[in-house]
Amino acid sequence: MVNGEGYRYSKGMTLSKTTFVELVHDAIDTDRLLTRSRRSDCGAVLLFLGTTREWTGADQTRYLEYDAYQEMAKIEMQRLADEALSRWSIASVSIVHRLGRIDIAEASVAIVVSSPHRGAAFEAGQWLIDTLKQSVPIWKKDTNGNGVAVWLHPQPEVDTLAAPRQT
Amino acid sequence: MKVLLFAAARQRVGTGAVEIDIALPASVAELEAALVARYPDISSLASTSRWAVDQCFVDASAMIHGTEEIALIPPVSGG
Repeated sequence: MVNGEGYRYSKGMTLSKTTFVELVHDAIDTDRLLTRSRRSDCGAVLLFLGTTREWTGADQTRYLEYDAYQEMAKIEMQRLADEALSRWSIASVSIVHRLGRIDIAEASVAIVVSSPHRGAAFEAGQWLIDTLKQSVPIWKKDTNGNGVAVWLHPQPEVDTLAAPRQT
Repeated sequence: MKVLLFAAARQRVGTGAVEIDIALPASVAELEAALVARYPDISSLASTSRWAVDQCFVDASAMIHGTEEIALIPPVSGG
């Protein structure tokens, strides 16, 4: 059969779609996410990790601490996963966000998208992380090189390139 | 009316939930005015925040009747 975007699946099967969203307090198990995302009807598995960057220009980050309105964050993450599945020819979306202290180079968020063809996975993955950063009620507190901690509240109306901090 | 606070709003007020005296039903805009009158330190942050009623984003015109879970959502910075 041929779906709305013209992708052809074998044996006339429609693409079954799955989602997985989770908030965790320890290191994100990316191997487990990738394993559960591999499917016989998919030719692509895309993994995005958001990691703690030490330097933003001349500003040093020692570590980040994440907090969330947990009940609503899970609802919003699920809403994003469902919307991505409806907008692109993709088979699965997993979104895992870590809370608490996250040291340099460790991952705060993982997004995994699997799809029959890679283009849709790249597009959906980009949209998922961009939209998560705008709408999911999670916040980071930056402890800088001098040990001063500040909650980051980027202003949506400011040009993102001019915003003081972007991950 | 109980209001949940997060991130810098919680830090400045010193607690994750505050009780605001307001006649119900009231709009979210009226609740925000009452909140910042009581806690002027978060006036600027509240002006750029969104509101959630029962874990859904709402407009300032949304009405509150007293049984909902209300949260002030400062600009988010997850990811």
